[in-house]
Amino acid sequence: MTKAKGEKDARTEPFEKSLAALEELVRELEAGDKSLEESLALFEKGVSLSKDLTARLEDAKTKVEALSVEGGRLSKKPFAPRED
Amino acid sequence: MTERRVLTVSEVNAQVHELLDASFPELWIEGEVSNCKTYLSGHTYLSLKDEKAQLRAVLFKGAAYGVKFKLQDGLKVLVRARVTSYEPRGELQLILSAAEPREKGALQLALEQLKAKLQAEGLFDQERKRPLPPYPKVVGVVTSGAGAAVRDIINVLSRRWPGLEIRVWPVRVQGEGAAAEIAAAVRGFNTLAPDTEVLLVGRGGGSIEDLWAFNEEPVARALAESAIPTVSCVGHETDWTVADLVADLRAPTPSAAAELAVPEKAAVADRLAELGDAMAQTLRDRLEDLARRLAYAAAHPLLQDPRRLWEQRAQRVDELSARLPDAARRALERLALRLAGTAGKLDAISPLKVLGRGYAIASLHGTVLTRASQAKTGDLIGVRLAEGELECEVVE
Repeated sequence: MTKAKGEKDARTEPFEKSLAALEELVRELEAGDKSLEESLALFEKGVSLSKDLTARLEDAKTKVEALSVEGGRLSKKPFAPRED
Repeated sequence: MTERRVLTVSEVNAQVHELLDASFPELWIEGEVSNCKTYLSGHTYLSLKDEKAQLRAVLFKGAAYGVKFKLQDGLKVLVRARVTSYEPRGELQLILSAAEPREKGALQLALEQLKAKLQAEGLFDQERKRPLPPYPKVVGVVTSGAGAAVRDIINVLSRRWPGLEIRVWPVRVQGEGAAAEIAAAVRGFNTLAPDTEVLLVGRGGGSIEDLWAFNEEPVARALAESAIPTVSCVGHETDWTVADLVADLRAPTPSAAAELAVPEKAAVADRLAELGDAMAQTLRDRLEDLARRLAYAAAHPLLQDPRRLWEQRAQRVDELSARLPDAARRALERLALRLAGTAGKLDAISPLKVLGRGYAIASLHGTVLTRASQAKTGDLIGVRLAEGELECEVVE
């Protein structure tokens, strides 16, 4: 299944941009100057954004790596703090 | 008689020079710095003076490492120096190999001087401070690869904002070469991993000497040049290090830096839920409002029973029709009254009324006679009386 283009784009947007978009959308909705059809469309978009953002919070796994320079190039290795 | 021995100026200067070099061991000399100037060559020329006298002195570039602070006019110093002369001018001169400030420690003075210099360059200005990204995905850490600091940072970051990529650039944080390593790591993030969104630079607590690397110029420069926003965290609550002053944000400890660098997941989740609720509530209110308006409009009597629209009118027609005959009769009566009134007035001015009092109207061939000359003898004239008419002959 391929996702609709808009949905895929929303996934790759920075978190703060999507959150700001959601906040703006709620403001528009609250202003109440949209037609019912427009309001419903906004609501639908808002719910999808909100789900996407929540999902991003939930399925997140932290990755810790150690950076160093080896032979003038960046080297990345998994990092675990050494015990003293 | 002794022969006169003639020397050239150069010979004298050379002899004096040799004599001085041979006669004086290295000395510790106390004095105040004045006329101090460092040339592009890196050599520094100055005078050392007390209340009564002064001496020229030079600190060659090669010996400058022996002086941890910057020689400045007015500083009271203790210098280690050779006494020699500058031959071309035959001037007495000191060549410095070390110097210490007299009034405070060399490190402390060096720190004050560095702070003053960076401050003058504007590196501590509030306007330079940049905001941190609100929801970073990649956080860089420059600290020791061992110890509590890095563990605390990783723990706090992962707990608050899971899904983060944490990049640790392990460095020595104290001792010789630590400042250079810290500076190199900050630059390394900027050049080799520029997608890093915020940098935490610091170490756990320690003595002022342990933290010294964060007071050194290379670290300050690297932080100032960093395109990635920086948070300093040199575990020391009270004194601010130079790194603290240059960084975009200063945290008192590594854990505190981690807290400042990322939002808290629970708070963001709450905010999302709040926005979702607000949206749903707004839409619910909107629908309820529309439904209310619809119900009100639909319940209007005219929509309920459209006959009402003409019932009213039909009734009005009936009412008017009923009033019409009566109105017509009254109109006729009013006309009759007016007629009678007018007839009465006519009657009052009628000539017939005059005849009634015994007057008569004479006429000849239809013309009323008002003068005797209008008729001749023998004419037959009509005489109108109040009642009836006579035909009379004019006798005279």
